[in-house]
Amino acid sequence: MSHSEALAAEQDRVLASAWGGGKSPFAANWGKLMMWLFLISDALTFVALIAAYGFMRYVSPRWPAQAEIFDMRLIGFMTFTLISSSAVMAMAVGAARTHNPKLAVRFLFLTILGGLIFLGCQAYEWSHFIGEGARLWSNPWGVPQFSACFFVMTGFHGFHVTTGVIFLLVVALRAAAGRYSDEGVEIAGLYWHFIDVVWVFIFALFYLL
Amino acid sequence: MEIAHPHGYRVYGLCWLGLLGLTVLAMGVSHLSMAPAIKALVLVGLSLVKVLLIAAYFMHLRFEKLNLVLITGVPLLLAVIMWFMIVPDTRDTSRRVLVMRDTAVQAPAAPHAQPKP
Repeated sequence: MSHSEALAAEQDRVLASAWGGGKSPFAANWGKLMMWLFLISDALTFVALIAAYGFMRYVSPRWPAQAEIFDMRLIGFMTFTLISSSAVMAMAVGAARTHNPKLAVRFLFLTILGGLIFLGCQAYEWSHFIGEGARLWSNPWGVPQFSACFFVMTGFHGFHVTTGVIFLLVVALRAAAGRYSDEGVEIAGLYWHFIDVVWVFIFALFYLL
Repeated sequence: MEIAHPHGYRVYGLCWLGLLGLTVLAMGVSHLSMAPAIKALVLVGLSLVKVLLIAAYFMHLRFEKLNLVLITGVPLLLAVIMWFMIVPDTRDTSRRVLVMRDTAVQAPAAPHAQPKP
């Protein structure tokens, strides 16, 4: 076997391997894989925020009782809304994959409604909190880190919910106009479920602990 | 080519009920009087179960290839590593912050500082 033949044989062997580019090691299309990679990097940002919150909470000699400051019924309702919208989003993906665009669009708009209700509740919660005198660097409870953690964590999450609603709106309008793609719905769904995943940790560690 | 998987609405419904049940359970646990460390562990445990349900069924990770499932665990692994890197800094930090504050109060004015008119 000549040198060039050996090189060609080696190239074929690499291309045929799972990591050589000849096969798909993740068995996912390009868009979906890129969304997963984005979510992983975004998750690291939230991990850093939650770790910073944990640090501040741990070293702070005292911490306000959240149940006395926030309306836990409202927070519970927000969690219920987000979990329900996530379930409806999963149904939208299911409808899209079974080639039922009309049903998928309906579920998408229901998911958007859930997101808007969540954002409305968050706006109410923020205005109430600010009305009580809380600012980014100070608050009436004497622990400045408390309001800083609240505004940064819930604000960053709220920003994700807002972009998620816009993303879903674009996907829903495109699907309603006939420019329908089940992969597009699935990718948007991944982003929306990620928002739910982040809220699960914020809800447990910031509001309940 | 992706692995085929079912899209039964019943599965999503059961998952939704499970998530709501776990949320109510977590809210109940928050009202119990127990050591903060144990409460934190219980709440993190319940949150992880919820996240597993969402990832497995809503995000369809249960039906994806193992390679994809493994890379999604990276943030969790890094979170654990980050936490153990932070923990040593929590020792005596509050005391150190107070000492720094006292030092700042007693420190003389900078030589180049100009008094405000």
